[in-house]
Amino acid sequence: MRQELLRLVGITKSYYGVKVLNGVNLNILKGETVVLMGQNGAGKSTLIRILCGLIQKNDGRIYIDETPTELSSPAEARNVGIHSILQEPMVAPNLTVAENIFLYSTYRPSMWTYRGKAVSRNAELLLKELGISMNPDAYAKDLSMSQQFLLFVAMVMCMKSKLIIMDETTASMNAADSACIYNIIEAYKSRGNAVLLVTQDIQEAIRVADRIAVLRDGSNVGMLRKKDFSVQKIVRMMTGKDEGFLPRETVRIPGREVLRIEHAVIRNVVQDVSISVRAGEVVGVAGLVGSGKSWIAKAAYGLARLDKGNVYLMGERQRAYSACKAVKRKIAYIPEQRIKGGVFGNLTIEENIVAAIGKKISVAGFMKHRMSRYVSKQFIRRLDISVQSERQQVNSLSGGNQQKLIVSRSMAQNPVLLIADEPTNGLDITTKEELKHIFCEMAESGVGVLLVSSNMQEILSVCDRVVVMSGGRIKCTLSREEALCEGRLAEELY
Amino acid sequence: MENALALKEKKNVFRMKEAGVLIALAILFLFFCLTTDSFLTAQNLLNILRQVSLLGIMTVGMTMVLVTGEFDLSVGSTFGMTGMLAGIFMTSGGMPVWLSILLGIAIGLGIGLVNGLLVTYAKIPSFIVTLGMLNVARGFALVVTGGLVVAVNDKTARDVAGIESFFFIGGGKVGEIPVMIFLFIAVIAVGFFLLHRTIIGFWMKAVGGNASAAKAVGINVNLVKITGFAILGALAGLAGIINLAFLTNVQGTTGQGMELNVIAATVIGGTSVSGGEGTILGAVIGVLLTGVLNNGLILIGASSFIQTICIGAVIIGAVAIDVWTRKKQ
Repeated sequence: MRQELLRLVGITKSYYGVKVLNGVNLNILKGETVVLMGQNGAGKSTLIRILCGLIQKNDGRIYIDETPTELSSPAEARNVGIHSILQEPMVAPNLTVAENIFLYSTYRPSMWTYRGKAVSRNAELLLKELGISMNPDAYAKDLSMSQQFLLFVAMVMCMKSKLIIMDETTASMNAADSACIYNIIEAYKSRGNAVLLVTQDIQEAIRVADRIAVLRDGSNVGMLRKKDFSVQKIVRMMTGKDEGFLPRETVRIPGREVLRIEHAVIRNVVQDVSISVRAGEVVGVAGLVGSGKSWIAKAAYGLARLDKGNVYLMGERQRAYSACKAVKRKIAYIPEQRIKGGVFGNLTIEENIVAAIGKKISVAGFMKHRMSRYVSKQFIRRLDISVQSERQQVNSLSGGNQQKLIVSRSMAQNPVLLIADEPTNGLDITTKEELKHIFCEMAESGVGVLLVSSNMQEILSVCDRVVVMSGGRIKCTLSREEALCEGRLAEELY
Repeated sequence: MENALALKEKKNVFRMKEAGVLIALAILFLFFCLTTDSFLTAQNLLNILRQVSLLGIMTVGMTMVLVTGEFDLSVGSTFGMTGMLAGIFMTSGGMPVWLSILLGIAIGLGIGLVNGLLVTYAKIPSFIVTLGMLNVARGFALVVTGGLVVAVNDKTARDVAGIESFFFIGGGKVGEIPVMIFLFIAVIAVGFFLLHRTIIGFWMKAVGGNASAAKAVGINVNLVKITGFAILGALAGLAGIINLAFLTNVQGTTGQGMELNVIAATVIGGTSVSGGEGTILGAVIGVLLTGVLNNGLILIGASSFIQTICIGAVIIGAVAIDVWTRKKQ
């Protein structure tokens, strides 16, 4: 039996009373690669952030080399030998590759002076050793994203570490560069170290993992050993076997077309995508991180400019399309990032709800406070948002309630088309279900819904049609029946 | 919790955002009342109000610009340039007073528009744009006059239509109260309605609070920001013209450094430099605080050097309180 490097026991974390991690256990042995999998909101990122010392657990214990350890700061995590490569490569863009490596390495050719040539030579050796082909004198900002990640991996390799955590590092990488990463991982673990890798890509997980741990809704679902690896099994564990296929009582009869995107091209992210949404139907856009699905939502709402192609609303071609025009045409949008792109932290709940209906709450420019209060009260009741007062600041609300706020904002617009980009991301299971019901209700009342999501369950339970995207292109379009057919969507998605 | 919210609903003075500055103002006021005999006289208090009214008019505009999350360093130069141009229109140009005033304000508005357009469409940071405009407008004022004084008095503008009313704006009184104070109050009232009672004000707060969210709810972010700059420019123009009417002469360097006083008063009033937070009431209190401080320090015989130090300390103190209270929330 190999020695245990890390053991997590009963890790629990909640935000605003919502449990995102509920008694998670995990152990990692020396010399192995453990892959952590789960859908969005399963709690992977939270767990990793706890291991990096970025956030604090509420309960549970962490053992490193069988000694109980508290990881109360990122510095402490690094001290015990845990290093992380998160979703952004932490390189200094204005320095060269060699200089970036110099920042992390212990190599010092001289006490007082910086010797560029020696540093560059040293970096070259390191890169060669790791099997990375990169010019040590190139500036980091001139590297591709993929290469920047490789550089950062090389930098991390300079430091003394026992465990390296990688959070979807290879998601935005090309095949050659990811292969390079896999080689580095192999060499690293053969020295008695361990790697904890987070990925959405099942094929990748099967390729590199010694064991795969699956989380769902903040709890362990299970741990697979190498001999048990299979795509079907993993998908089932991630999504929960029979959950989420809401039996639909009413039959939706789609009306006229509200949105049509024709041959949309956005440089580097979207290639020739055409989508149409009719009134009263829910169209899902499924895809992994980096598949370009978010850009479709942005393009449909006028937030992203198309390099080629057209957007039609109610059959009318849009010229110089913008979000202002979209709102005028009664199109509502739920942005992907709640805090960054959705909520007004400085405004009250009431003001947040009425933010998109300026016309309705003002007469000749003057605010009708009674009207906005009436509207907001109505939606607070309808969506069961738990607030003390509608004059409360938004920051005091939980993530789920903030998201409901944004949903009610778009409902207040009385839209003909709702574009929702990962609307249930990071929410607890009850709120997720509530929101799914709301989307279904809206569709049944004749609203066209474009639902962009990487959560299969969500797509399967509400959508009439699913467009699966990959690498900026449409991979296939499935009808509801086809998508529900045993594992078909999962197959296309992963 | 319920109780605390009930208190907030009733608009408890001590729970208002402006409470900190208001208390500071009250303490200063009391301090000068007790230490000097001449502070608490009707004449002196009216004096303070008159002294701060030009600064105050611009502070109302500056509050709006800061609320949208932008910044304007060019107000001092706009203030100087518009006053000077209005003076030239009246004297050398022989234009009627109403037209000169209108043109002066329009020029201020134009400068604001240019600032706004450069910030939004050319995407240059407002700090840089307005720093540039500060120099351009100042230089322009100096070039136009060749560094000389522009005077509007009975000699130079004898035949100009409505010149009496012009002098009335600057030096006139209604009862014992200078006309300038009424203008200041009018600007406060309009500013208050604009920022707190109209949809434009609401949009300003939304844009300053979260620009990308504002975009996502269909607010024309650029238009809102430009509006803020334009209002401030027009108000700086108005203030510059009132200044000319009061002093009857201006020169190329008039209003130099004034932008910093305006920004100081705005920030003391609780307006956040990072956008989204700020009230007209706070701006007024901020302006009064600087006015009371300046006036009181003169009365107790402190040198003007000491005054500068005090104002500086108050700015830092006010923002420190703001940051701390925000952390607590």
